[in-house]
Amino acid sequence: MQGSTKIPHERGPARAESSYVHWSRFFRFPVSSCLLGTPLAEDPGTNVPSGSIPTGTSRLRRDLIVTAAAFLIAATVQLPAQTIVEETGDLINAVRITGAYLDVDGDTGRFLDRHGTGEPVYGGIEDFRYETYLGDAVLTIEGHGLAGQADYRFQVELNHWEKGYIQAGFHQFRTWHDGSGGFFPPSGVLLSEFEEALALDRGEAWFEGAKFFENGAILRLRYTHKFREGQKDSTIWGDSLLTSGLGDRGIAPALLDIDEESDVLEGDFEKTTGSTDWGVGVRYEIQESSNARHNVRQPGETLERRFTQREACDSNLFNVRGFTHTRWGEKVFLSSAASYTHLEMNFSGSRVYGSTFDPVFDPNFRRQINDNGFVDLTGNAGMKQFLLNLNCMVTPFKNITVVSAVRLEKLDLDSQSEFDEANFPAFQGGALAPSKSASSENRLE
Amino acid sequence: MQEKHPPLGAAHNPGDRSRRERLKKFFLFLLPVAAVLVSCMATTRAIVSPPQIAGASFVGSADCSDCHEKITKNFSTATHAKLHIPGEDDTEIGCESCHGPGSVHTDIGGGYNNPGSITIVNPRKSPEVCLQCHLDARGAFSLPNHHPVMEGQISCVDCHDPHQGPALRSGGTALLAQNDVCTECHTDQRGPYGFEHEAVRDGCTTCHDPHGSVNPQLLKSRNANLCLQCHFQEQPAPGQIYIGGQFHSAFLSQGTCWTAGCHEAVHGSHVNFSLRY
Repeated sequence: MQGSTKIPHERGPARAESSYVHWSRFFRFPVSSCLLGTPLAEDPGTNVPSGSIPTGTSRLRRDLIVTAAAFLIAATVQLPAQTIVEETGDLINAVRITGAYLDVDGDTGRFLDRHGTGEPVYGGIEDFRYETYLGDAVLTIEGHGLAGQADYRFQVELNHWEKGYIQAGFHQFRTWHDGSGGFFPPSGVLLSEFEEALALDRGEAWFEGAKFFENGAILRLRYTHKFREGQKDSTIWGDSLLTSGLGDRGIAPALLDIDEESDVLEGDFEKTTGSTDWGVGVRYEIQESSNARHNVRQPGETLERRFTQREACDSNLFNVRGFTHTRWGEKVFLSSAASYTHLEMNFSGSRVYGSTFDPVFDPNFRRQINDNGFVDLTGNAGMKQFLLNLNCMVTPFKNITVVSAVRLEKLDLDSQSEFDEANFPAFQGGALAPSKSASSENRLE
Repeated sequence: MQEKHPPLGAAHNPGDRSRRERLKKFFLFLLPVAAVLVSCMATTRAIVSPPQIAGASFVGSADCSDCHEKITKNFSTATHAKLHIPGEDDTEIGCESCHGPGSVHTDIGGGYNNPGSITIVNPRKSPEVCLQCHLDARGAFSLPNHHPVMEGQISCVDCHDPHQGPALRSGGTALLAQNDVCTECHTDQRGPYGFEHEAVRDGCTTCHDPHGSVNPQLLKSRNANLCLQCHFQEQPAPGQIYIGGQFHSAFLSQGTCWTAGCHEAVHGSHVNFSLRY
């Protein structure tokens, strides 16, 4: 995040031009000759084209050089003509190495957001897969890792046809977002406040195991840790009067600062009894988040002000469920499900105006009407849901299906919150308005 | 000696020459473009075909049941189960429509008996199989804002279950459950909120196009029209617009309804009934 406001920018709407060069090569290796940890490439002499160009070279010339170099390399190494899935009977134990160079001229954030790519250079292992027997079980290792893209995936699985499987993995990827804000064509104003290219990482790590019983039953357990961290743009833009006298317009950019984590533990048991499949499951989830939104209002004007709305939540979710699937002949299919969910959430937060983001509340800071805020928000919310679902699917004739369904649901929602209101003009006396509370209770049956 | 001057208006004007050159280039460019467009319009054959696996032929879904019974048992409830190739050799190829012809896979006893071999297509690895039929989704994923499916970060089956039912986890008695697909990842929007936005009960898709949109945040509309699809606007007199009983004429021109200082808490609020913040 940049600390200062730079306005107005005398330039047109966000646009981007780019030069893009991509190179990849596919190596396969037989099970018998491969040892993990040793180089897998058959031809180590090939190199990923680099984006390093001598300083002083013009952009056009630089692009031509890079493009020509990529064509030369591609012609030399014989790029694979077919995709993996079209090959049959061949060993798929393989590694695909890739590299790319990207040069963006214009709105970098917009380009990266649209194309989902990093810059200026990224590369690494685009795809890796190795399968072999380990005793009676099949060991599978697969993944990819692209530096510059923050795109990583690794998964290892040991699968036995009759006994079950265990697997563990990690996956992370990055999305890019444009922090530019809005553009007002009549005045040609584009307000800048944040980095042009914002990045948000999302990922998960998991462990899963399943036991296959001789009677056909399956017991499955899974633990997942998820996270989302970084910054992205928001369309809750601030207002501006730099509009050549055309009035107030919401074009000032806003930014979301995101930090979320959750841990999920799940267990499922399934079995077939007669013509009925049935199963029960349980899920327990803990979630924590500390998110903030930064806004600027009327930047570059006398009444320039910023505010940060910050909310932190921690919640626990418990769910237990069951289902049945029953077939009566070829034409009748009955299914039912029942579920109970209990969610408890505690939250806190504030919304404070000031001259900087995340300011300390100052009752004397200049504000305008509708500059609402609050501090010391605390509260909790809860949900209880009972659910019963019955379905009957009848297929009297080919291509004609009749589905009758009943859903019974009882949903209880309640919420309580307390906060000190800091609305205009209540604070003008130099003190906060008296504490205010809000509560609600909803019931849906 | 008399000088020879070109007649007035002759084509010796350099500007005219360059104009003719530009016209010539334009028509040279137009010709192949027109040829491509005409050939596309003249094509009547089906351009959708199941994925192919070299050396393999279709065996029908019944063979798949021998090993994958847990999946195929309920497959008859799926919309995808109705896929077949019409004609004399009509085979019900529900499974193979997406996984490719399975003869090689069944001949060797499945992938488990031959690790390291590719004998079947796994659409989870790539959306191309799904998008071969679902062209509307392909188009949506090509829009400026989209879920990172084409980038390979999430797959179609993260949100859809192609093996049973209509593959869309919403509608009918499951209407209230459709948001669970979204909040599995977007946990911060799950709530519950003290003051909820009732539109969320109708589903996230009331305001968002989950596949892709020309608007940021996958919004269906970039301006106040998004909100006005539900919120009634009264016009008691020309130039006067009331929404929710409040005078809004001056606000509508300022930007979206969720502009800073207006109704920012679009998913719900813990503190304000009007979802102001």
